[in-house]
Amino acid sequence: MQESEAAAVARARTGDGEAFRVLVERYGRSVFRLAYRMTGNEQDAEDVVQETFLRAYRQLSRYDGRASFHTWIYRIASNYALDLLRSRRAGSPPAEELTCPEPQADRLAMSGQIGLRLREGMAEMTEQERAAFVLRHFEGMSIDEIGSVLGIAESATKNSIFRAVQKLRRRLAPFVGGG
Amino acid sequence: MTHLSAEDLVLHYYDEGPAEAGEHLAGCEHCRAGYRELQRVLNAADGYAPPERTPDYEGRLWARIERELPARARGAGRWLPSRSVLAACGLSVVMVAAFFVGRWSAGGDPRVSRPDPLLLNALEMHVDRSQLVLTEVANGSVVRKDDLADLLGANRLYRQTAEMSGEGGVADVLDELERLLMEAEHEQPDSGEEMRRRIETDGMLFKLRVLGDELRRKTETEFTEETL
Repeated sequence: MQESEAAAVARARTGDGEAFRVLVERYGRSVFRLAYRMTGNEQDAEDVVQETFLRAYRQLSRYDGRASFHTWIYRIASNYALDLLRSRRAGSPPAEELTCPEPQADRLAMSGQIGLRLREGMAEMTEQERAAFVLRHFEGMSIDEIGSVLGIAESATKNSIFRAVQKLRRRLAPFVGGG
Repeated sequence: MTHLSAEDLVLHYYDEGPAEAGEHLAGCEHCRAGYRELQRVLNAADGYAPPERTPDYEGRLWARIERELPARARGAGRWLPSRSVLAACGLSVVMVAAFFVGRWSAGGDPRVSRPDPLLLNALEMHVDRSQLVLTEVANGSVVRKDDLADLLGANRLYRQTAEMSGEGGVADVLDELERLLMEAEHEQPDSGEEMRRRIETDGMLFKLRVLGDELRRKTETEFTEETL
């Protein structure tokens, strides 16, 4: 039987490395998926995953159990990914890298015009729009939960999602037919 | 007739819109056409798939993370020996307490009469863990009897240590905690509500949080002074 999440968290808080390993192994893959969709870059996503769990370990004593561990770890990952993207924008990265990352054919499960327009649409979103959209569309979080994760009001969360969808729609509508 | 806005359609797609939106869509071809287009766009977005990770991803990820963790988390196991381990080693709680006390307050040498930072840190983690377990009990979650028994055994150790060291305030909080843990350990399946009420009435979670914060401050001070 799998160790319950609460028991693993409780033991990890006492400094038990094996218990923390249970949590890393349980959530590592899903945190990677979230990080990749937020950053659009495999290496950045791996950095986000590692830093997320290290931060979680350091902050375990502050975890009060009111939110699920899953929500808590997603909050850390989302905020770190946002910080990473913002710091990149504040620096001087190559413009192409941020506006439209090049696809790696063997790594992305999409192709053709739709795939290209989709990547363009995602890249066109602001960091906050992208984070809100990823958490809503791919992770299935409610608007309320997303607001809590990103530390923004419900109206700001909704507007971020609306703008993100609008950008996708502009890019994709001509290619998905039926219009 | 007022049609649904683009925002209404998005909220409806994510099941966050009002029920009236569904009713309107059922009777309005204009809005249905807009909604079908939105569905095609958002369904296409599902294709934004992250690259697959290899089957051994979790193991490699843990290896990377483990290297960065403090030494005690790298396979050092629990800080505090469980009751069963103590029994296996033939050590009584009082003997271990005496060992800790010796480190906490040794003779008149002012240099070593300060609290041992390692003990403070271990106690801090015990308080944090107790807080978490009591939160689970208060929320009606099932907590394993073995975990409660271990926590109870550890709590006795710390309470006796605090009493012998003249830390009356800490001992009082741990004494209250001990009684709650004993009740939780012997709790009947239908007495969950009563336990929740007890935990809330006693304000135990608040007391533990205050004690935990105080221990964290002390630990940081002692570790800093020890390294100077």
